[in-house]
Order: sequence, then C-alpha cells, then structure tokens
Amino acid sequence: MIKEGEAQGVKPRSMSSCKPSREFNQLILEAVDEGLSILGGDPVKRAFYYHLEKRANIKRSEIPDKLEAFHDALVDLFFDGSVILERRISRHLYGRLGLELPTDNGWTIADYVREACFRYESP
Amino acid sequence: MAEEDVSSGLHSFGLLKDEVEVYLFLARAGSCPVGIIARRLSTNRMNIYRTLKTLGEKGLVESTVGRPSRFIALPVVNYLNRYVEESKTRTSSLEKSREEIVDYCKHLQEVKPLDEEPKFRIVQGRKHVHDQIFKMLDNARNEVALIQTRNGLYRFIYRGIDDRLKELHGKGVEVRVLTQVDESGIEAVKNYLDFAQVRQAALQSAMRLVLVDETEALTTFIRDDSMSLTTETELAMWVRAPDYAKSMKIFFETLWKDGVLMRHRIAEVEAKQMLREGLDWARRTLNADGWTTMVPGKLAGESGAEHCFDLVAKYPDERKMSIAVDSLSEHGSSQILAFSLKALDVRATVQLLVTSLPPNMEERELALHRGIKLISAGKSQQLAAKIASEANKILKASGGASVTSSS
Repeated sequence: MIKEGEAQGVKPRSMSSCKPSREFNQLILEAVDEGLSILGGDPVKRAFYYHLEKRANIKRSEIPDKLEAFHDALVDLFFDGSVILERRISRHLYGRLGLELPTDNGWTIADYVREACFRYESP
Repeated sequence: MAEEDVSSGLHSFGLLKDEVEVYLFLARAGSCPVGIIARRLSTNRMNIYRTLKTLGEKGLVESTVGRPSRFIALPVVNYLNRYVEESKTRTSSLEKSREEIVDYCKHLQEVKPLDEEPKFRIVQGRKHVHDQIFKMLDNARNEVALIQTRNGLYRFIYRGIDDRLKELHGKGVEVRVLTQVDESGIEAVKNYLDFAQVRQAALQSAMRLVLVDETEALTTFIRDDSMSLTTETELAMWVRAPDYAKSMKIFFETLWKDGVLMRHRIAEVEAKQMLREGLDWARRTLNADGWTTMVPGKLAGESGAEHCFDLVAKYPDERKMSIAVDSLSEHGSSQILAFSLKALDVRATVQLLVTSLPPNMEERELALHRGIKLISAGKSQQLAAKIASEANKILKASGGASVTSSS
C-alpha cells in the first residue's frame, strides 16, 4: 500500500525518478495483457499488438521502454477511448504491486507507471 | 351381571375395595350391626367403622338409631348419577383447560422461536423437496428469498409454489427471487414479477436456496435440472437454525446487491431478440441485392486474427467490399473500442454498430473518430432497411452494381 506519510501527488514523476527492474517491466507487460482483456479474447489482442507495431513501431516487449509512444499509439488507435484502457492497465499494474491506484489526475499510462515504479522500486 | 363385574364397575365409579365389599354385603344382608359385618368380612370393627363412615359421606349407607347401631345400604343409583354428573363437569373443565394450555403454548412458540433447538433434515426426491418448501412457506411471516434456476422457476409454477408465493405477497410477505435466465426463461420470470422482486444474477455455483424469515433455509444442489417433478436425484438440506439462516441471508444479500433488475434484463433480452430479427431481415435483404451474408460471421484480419461479427456481408466481385455489423447492447465504450479494432484489422468497407440505447457523447465521438456508423436498432424491418441502405451507398459510390431489390 502507500508508504506512510506519502501523499498522492497530482504532479507526475519525472522521467529520471525511477529505474525499473526487469521484474517490474514484466509486470507492466502482464498488466497490459490483462487490461486488453476488456476488448475481448485473443484475436482482438493479437490485432492490437499487430497494429501497435505497424502504426507506432512498438513491439509488445518494448512497451515498458516506450511508454510515451505507447500512450500516443493508444490515442491514435482509440482516440478518447484510450483513457479507459490506460486506467485499466494501470489498475492491474497497481493491483499486482499491492499499491493503491492514485485518483484520476488526467495522467497518461506513462505517468501511472513512473509513479508505481517510484513507489515500488525505491528502497 | 356377575358380582365380580359389579365390583369392578363400582371401582370405576370411585369406590375403594373395602367400600365395595361392605356396601354389597349390606345390600345383600339388609340392616346389620358393625360386629356382624366385621365377623362376616373377616376384619376388625375399626376398619368397618372407617369404611362405613366414607360410605355414609358418599350417601351409600345410613345408620339406624338404637343400641347397637345398625347400618343399612341405600339405593346406589343416586350415587352413580351424582358421580356421572361430577365426571361430566370435570371433563368440561378439562376441555376448557386444554384449550387454554394449547393457546398459551402456541403463544410461547410464536414469541420465542429463537429459543428453539437447531434442527436439520436431509430431504431426498423432488416431490419431497417441494413438500418441504410448502411447509416452510406456511411459516413465512415477513420475507421469502429464493435462488432458483430457470427450470426451477418453471417447476415451481407446475407445482403451484408460485401461487403460494402470490398468496404470501398478498398477506404482506416480501418475496425476492434471484435467478439467471436467458431468452427462453423470460416468460417464466414474467409470471413472478406480479408478486416478487426479481433480479438477474451471475450464479456461479449450482446451489439453490429457499430462505424464510431468517429462520429456515433449504439448500439444494442441482444434480438434475430437468422438468421432472418426481426425480429422486434431488437432494436438499433443510435447516431451522437462525444462525445458519442468517448466514444464508448474508450470502443472498451479497448476490442480490449485484443483481440486475429483471425488467432491465427483460428489456435487454427483448432488444437482442429484436436485433436478431432485424439482422435476419437485413441478411435476406442483402442476399436479394447480391451480397453474401453470414449471421453471425467471421472476417480474417490483416493481423492474421479472425474476428467474429453479428453480421458479415461480402460483395462477390473484384471490389472485395465488405460490411461488418456488431451490436452494442448496453453503454460501454469498451465494446466500441473492441469493434473499432476489429474493424480496423479486417478493413471492412462499412463498419456498422447497432445500438439498442441512444449512444452517449463519448461513444459518438469515438465512433466518428474511427469511421464507425452508429445505427439505432428500432424495429426489425427498419434496421434491415438502414443496413441495406448503407450497403447500397457503397455499391453506388464504387461505380454502381448489380443492385436488384434493396428497399
């Protein structure tokens, strides 16, 4: 859960605030897979990753390293609907990490992941 | 009548053995002094005096004046009549007391049901289970809660349990039903809506429940959900234990809280039925216009994935035009997101999303962004006409075609 005395900030963390571990990145990928389940089964998921790579040049395994581009790709594919997916993916990630999802501050998926990384990876 | 029988009879009328012997002796012998009576009956004078005293009190003997006193038996009929009258009075009094005691005990049971010892019983066979449910409903004062399958609801109707529930509702008992029905169960559910609150729940387990007043619970596990009213495979556990019933109530309330109001569920199912009819009309209209259709149908996507749609239509010429139609049964942007991704992948010439409810702003913008046309479901033939109209537009736009009969 949230570390004691730490407020849920409205301002997102900076890019350099956290260095994610391999384990953390793996959790991001699992959360993306889970978040996509809202769209349907395997055929839709397969189509998503195909068009993600085709339109934004992002392979599934590269998502943790290209979070900003991943956000842009989601907006390209789903317009305002990307918010739903980003929030859902974030909820799964925070759930796996045992963290409480911050209130909706208009953050992108990249903001949510950096905040999670800071809280989870910081000693 | 033999003397033995007379003795026995007098015993029945409340005379002791000594009293009977002395009375019958005096009745035979006539007037006698105590000494003679004692000698003849081989007992002492004191016993005879004592017995004559009680016989005198009962009006069966009297003494004569003189020395020595003599005793004489009086007619027994007065004593017997008096005894019968007293017995009648006593019986009447007992009857009155009996009613008062029964009423008092009933009252005790009503006001202190929680003090009852917990009871349970295993009930086998559907007929016996239904009989047990009837008994439980007889005890219902405040509420009845049910978890039942679609077939179970039908069986209740066939067995008349629904009528009993209706009676209870008329007496102010709250009746609630949780069930899980598809289109085929709607008619059964409608019957219950007259007297019960009904909700649709995702029933993960095969358990059914009848709960009465947080006092009695009957749980069964579906081993045979057929319409048979006599199957012996039905097995239920009846429990009368407030603690257990309260636990079951909590379980029921958890499901109830998440249940969907049945009138919404019915509206959803009926909308789906209408949609299916509309798509069927559309299929026939498009077929008549030369399209090849599938309801539902699949289209292969650029990603290699194969996607399923409610209706797929392809025009069989070199232009490779296709129409993908899905339906949006309730508000949910995720359904539009999924449809837009599928449509993007299959590169359908026309992407139509049929909505049963008016789309909200978010849904409209998303559809517009992805080039999805939203069509309100409406009546079956109207929906078919709208889909056919969109098909005609692309045929004309691509240089006209062999349109034959679209309306």
